[in-house]
Amino acid sequence: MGKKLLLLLLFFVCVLVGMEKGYGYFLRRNVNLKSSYVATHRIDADVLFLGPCEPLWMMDPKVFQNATGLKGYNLATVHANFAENEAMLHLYLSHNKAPAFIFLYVTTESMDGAFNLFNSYSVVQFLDDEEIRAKIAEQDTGFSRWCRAPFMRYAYYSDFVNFNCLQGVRHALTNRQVPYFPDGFVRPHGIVWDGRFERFVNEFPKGRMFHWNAGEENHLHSLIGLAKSIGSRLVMYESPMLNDIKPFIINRQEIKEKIAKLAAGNEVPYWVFDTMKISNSRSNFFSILNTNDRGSAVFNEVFARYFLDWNKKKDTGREEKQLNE
Amino acid sequence: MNEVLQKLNEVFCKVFLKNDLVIHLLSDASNIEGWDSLTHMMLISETEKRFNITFTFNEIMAFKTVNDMVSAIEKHLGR
Amino acid sequence: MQFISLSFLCFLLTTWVLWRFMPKERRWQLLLTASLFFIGFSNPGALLVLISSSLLTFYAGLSIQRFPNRRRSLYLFSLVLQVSCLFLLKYIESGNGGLYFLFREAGFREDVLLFAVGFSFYTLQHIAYLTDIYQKRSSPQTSALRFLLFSSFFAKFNAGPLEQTNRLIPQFNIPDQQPAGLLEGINRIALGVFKKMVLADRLAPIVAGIFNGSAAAGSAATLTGVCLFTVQLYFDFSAYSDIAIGSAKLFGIELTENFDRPFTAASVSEFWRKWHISLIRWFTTSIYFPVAFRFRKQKYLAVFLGIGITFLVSGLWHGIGKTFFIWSLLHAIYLSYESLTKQTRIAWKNRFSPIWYNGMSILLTFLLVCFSNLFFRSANLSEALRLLRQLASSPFGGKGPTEGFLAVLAGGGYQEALFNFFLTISLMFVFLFLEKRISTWIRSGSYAFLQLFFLLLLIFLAGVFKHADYFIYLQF
Repeated sequence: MGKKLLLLLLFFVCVLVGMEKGYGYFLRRNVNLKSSYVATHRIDADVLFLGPCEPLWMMDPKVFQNATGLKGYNLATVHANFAENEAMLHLYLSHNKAPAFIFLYVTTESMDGAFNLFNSYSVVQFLDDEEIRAKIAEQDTGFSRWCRAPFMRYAYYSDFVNFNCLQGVRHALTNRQVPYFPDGFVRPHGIVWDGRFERFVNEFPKGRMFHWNAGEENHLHSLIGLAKSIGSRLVMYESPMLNDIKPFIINRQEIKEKIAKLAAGNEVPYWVFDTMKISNSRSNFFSILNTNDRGSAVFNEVFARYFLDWNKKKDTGREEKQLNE
Repeated sequence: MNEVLQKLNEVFCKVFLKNDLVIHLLSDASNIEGWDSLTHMMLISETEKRFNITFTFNEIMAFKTVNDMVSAIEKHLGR
Repeated sequence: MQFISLSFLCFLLTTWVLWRFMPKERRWQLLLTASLFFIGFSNPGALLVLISSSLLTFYAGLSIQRFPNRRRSLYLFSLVLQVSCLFLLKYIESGNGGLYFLFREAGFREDVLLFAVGFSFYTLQHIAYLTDIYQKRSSPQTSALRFLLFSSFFAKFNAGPLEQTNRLIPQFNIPDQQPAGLLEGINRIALGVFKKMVLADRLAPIVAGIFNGSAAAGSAATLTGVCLFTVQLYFDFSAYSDIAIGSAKLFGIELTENFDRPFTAASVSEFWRKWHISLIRWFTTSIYFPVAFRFRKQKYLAVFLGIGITFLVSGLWHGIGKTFFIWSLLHAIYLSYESLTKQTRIAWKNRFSPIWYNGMSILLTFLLVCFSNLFFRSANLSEALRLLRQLASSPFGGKGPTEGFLAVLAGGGYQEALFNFFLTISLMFVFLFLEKRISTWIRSGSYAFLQLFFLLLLIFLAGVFKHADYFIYLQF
């Protein structure tokens, strides 16, 4: 019986190894999974929007293209920190030419490690890529150790992976090549006020101090470095946030100054849109930092115009040449 | 059927409100519907009243079957 | 040491291999060493308390028999000592307000918690042991080390099942040693891991969404969440018992079964004969019977007092707080009602078709138990009241069924969340449906390898590895 048991376990390990291969294949075939799509399809956008859920649900590449003629792609992912942004950019570049511009969303929240993180499951199907493996090892140490066991890379976050894998099976069977959100932008259609503001105020009635996280700063530097190395112009920006929240972010001014200093030190522009009128009314937002359909429509126009003005004003001819290409 | 068992049967009928209930020496909680720790105490106090005896705590804790009860009753009655 | 951890797996493997090659007469010594290591591994201090408490109990047992004149004072003294330790611990544990959920959030170390639980369980066993000797129902044990193994045996140390000395200790001796049930033990452990990681842990976020959620859910979602908590609690705790029983089985030791498919109970009193059997047995013999015996001349008073005091103590044992008091009050009412109407209900059953009557009884019993558990799980009274208000509100909170029901339970109505929700619910129903068959298969050894394969496969496919919640019952 002992022998039979050992045989069974051995067989089971083989099954796990097989499943690992299968999951990996089908996850990569899932075009709705942004990391898989950008790493396997040619998009060749002129501009990329990068960041966590705020740009994902706010920056509409179509509006931008109508105003500027530049093709855009929204590469933002939910809940992502700078390290995940960098991983996404890396995957994108593995199959696409470098964009001319990268718009990176940076706000007080982004610099505080407590809000966004590295969601390993969103890129885990590329674990065999050295860069991705190194990122996971650094950002999600516990998970990275588990990854050595067969199939554990998918079992560990099974609730995030199973659905995507099944969707991948469907996409593989139907040979689907176009994602549900073709330019990566997720329209916040029909999303109602999520109550995060109330929860935040409840939890921090006297406001919250934001902490400057050294790790986040390092990854921001590294992201800027990556953009420079591929010859893309990186622009940091902060989109409008609900004005009501500002009194509750105690050291907002201080953090913003630090961000601006960091940007200047790297010769990166930092655009701040927090004085826009739409910030005054909740009717333009569904959360503290997320605009709804109405707010997004206004902001996308303003952003595109601002870009055009800025681009015209620049006296270095380099960017203009790129634009004309 | 001995006399004690017969009298005990009447007690069972009274406690479990079932006139046609017939108990055997080997009857236990599993084959008499409704015999559980809640009715057990009623059964004990009715039996004590009927035979005019007083069980000890250890005795009632040891009751598993009707036979256990019959032997304990016989002991108290001095038989 | 947590049951679901790599360290426990290594511990179990090593102990088993050593046990396998150990001469039979020394095997219990190995188990003792392993058990002490198991406890001391996470909390060396706990080891000290355990050893002193066990030795105290052991010698108290001997002295009670040896000095008949002082047996009463000896018994009372050791009893007071044990009970005060228990309550002191419960008091420290409950901190402010009385819940483990707070306890965990307050950042207490998990090993302290594990020890606290083990402490309450072995204290209960010590009390029963001394009572049995005091009332001359059994004679004291003669080997201090075997008694220590009884107290500390790693499979049952954390959360039971509660054992009796004269059932467990003989199994340490050679003539009574059973052959190891290797495959049965492994399958039982796999079943426990499956129940915990796949069923209980997948249900956990759904339940937490309702109990901790501030968003006003409609009555349908709240009712579902409240019912699912009872199911989660069952999977969680019976999983623990499965792992305990399975681990012991590997070493040829039979532990008491702790659950007998409680959701098939057709009355609350039957429910309590199927849920946490070993603990209920302890409460019945140690509290209910003595109280009811004393007042047996007053027929109903005896039963009411017995039930009332038993559940009051049970509520206190689970935690100190108003919610636990309401929980015990509810069960006292349920059981009193049932004992009052027992005969009427039997008559009803015969009048209606038994299938319908049984079906309705099972449903009603389940709902009553779930209702009481609403208080059991609520962190405080205001949370319980909020849930009650929600239960009385409109079914979907004024929205459609998708938005007001599914989205609330599934954590947002996204496809992915809905997929996970339905997966959880279907796994739960399929398992509950097959449960009887699976446990028979495990015991009889049929399809053993197939079973093991599928259990492992499901654990890897749908188990929750991240954020594995602690066993809920470890808090008590």
